[in-house]
This record gives sequence, structure tokens and C-alpha cells, in this order.
Amino acid sequence: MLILTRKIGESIAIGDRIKVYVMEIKGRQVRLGIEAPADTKVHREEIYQKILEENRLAAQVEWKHLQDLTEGKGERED
Amino acid sequence: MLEIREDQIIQMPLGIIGFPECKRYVLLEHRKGSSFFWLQSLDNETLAFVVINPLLFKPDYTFELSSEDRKALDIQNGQAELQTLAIVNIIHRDKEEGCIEITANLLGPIVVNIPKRLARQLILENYPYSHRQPIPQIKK
Repeated sequence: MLILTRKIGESIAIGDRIKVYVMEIKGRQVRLGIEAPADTKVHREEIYQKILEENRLAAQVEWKHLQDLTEGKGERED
Repeated sequence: MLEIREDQIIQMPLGIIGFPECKRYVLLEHRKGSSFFWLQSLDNETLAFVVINPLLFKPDYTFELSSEDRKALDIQNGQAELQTLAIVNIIHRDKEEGCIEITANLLGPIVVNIPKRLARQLILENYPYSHRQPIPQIKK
């Protein structure tokens, strides 16, 4: 991993199209400003991982699972 | 064998998060009249997601589309006919007890531009929604 030291107001460039600015440092929190092309999605890592993980789990749901839940169990198709 | 017409295909240029290689989907009813649908990949026949209209059980569910999302969904000035879908998960908490929870991911909705057959999965930051919102008893 590349590790760089930056001051407030300074930035790093990632390739030609992405810039990350250090906006503010408050205690243990850092505010970053990100410039990126519209087709590059920028997200907090943990929320991205959460969605990714949930999508992977959801991809394993089988027809039978849903069928078991939606059939019987007091639910009746009229 | 399922026959799919060209105009039924939903394009997801970025795919679904975690499955970027699958970009073409079709929406199939689980059963006639069911609230549940399958978002079936046409690029990988084993990949399919159960989805539901989240407004059926969370009528106040709402979020803003960013200008970039609007562009990606080809939404031109103002309104378009959009459909929001939430991916459904069926979680087996305890196999022996048969304890099953059925949830919807309200943090990562899929928005479909119906007339354009164009969709993308969003990530909602700064919204008080759960990625595992329990779905109450819904018919079928």
C-alpha cells in the first residue's frame, strides 16, 4: 500500500481523473473531498461492503425457498 | 425454455453490485399475482434475485436521485416512469427450528426507468433505512 502524508488543503491525484482532497481534520475524523468522473461511484467502504454482501446472500435464494414461504403457512391463494 | 422478447430486457450497465459482469436482466413474476418477482440474469442463467416493490410494506420509503443517477438512468428533464425494487433475502436463522426471516434491502434499491428499460442499483448513504428490513406477511 502506498502511504502519503498530506496537510489540510492538499490533495492526491489517482490517475488523470480522480482527486482526493483533505478538507478538515477534527480529532480522529478526517473530512475528504473527492473529485471523480460520473461513472466512478464513490462510497464509504463499509456501506458498499454491506450491500455487496447482502447481494451475494440474496443471489443464493432459490425458487423453492420463496415458494415454501409463499405457499401454505396460512396464506391461501384464492 | 423461456422466451424473452427484446423489449422485456432490462439493461444494467453497471450490473448489480458484486455481479458487474451480468448486465442484462428480465423481470419475471414469481407466480401469477405474486408480490414477488425474480430479476433473472440473461448473462448467467444461475443468477437471479427475488425483488419486491418496497412501497407495498413501507409506503413512506423515498429517496432522492443524484444528478449522476438521473443521467445514468436516462431521465430527461423532470419525471419519468420509474419503478423501485428492493432485493429480497431469505435468512435461515436456525435450520432445525425452521426459523426463517424474509427481509428487503432498502439501502441498495434498484431503480428501473420503465420506458427505457434501464436500471441501476443505488447505495443510499445518509438514509435511515436498513439493508435487512423485515417484510411483514404479504400475500403470496
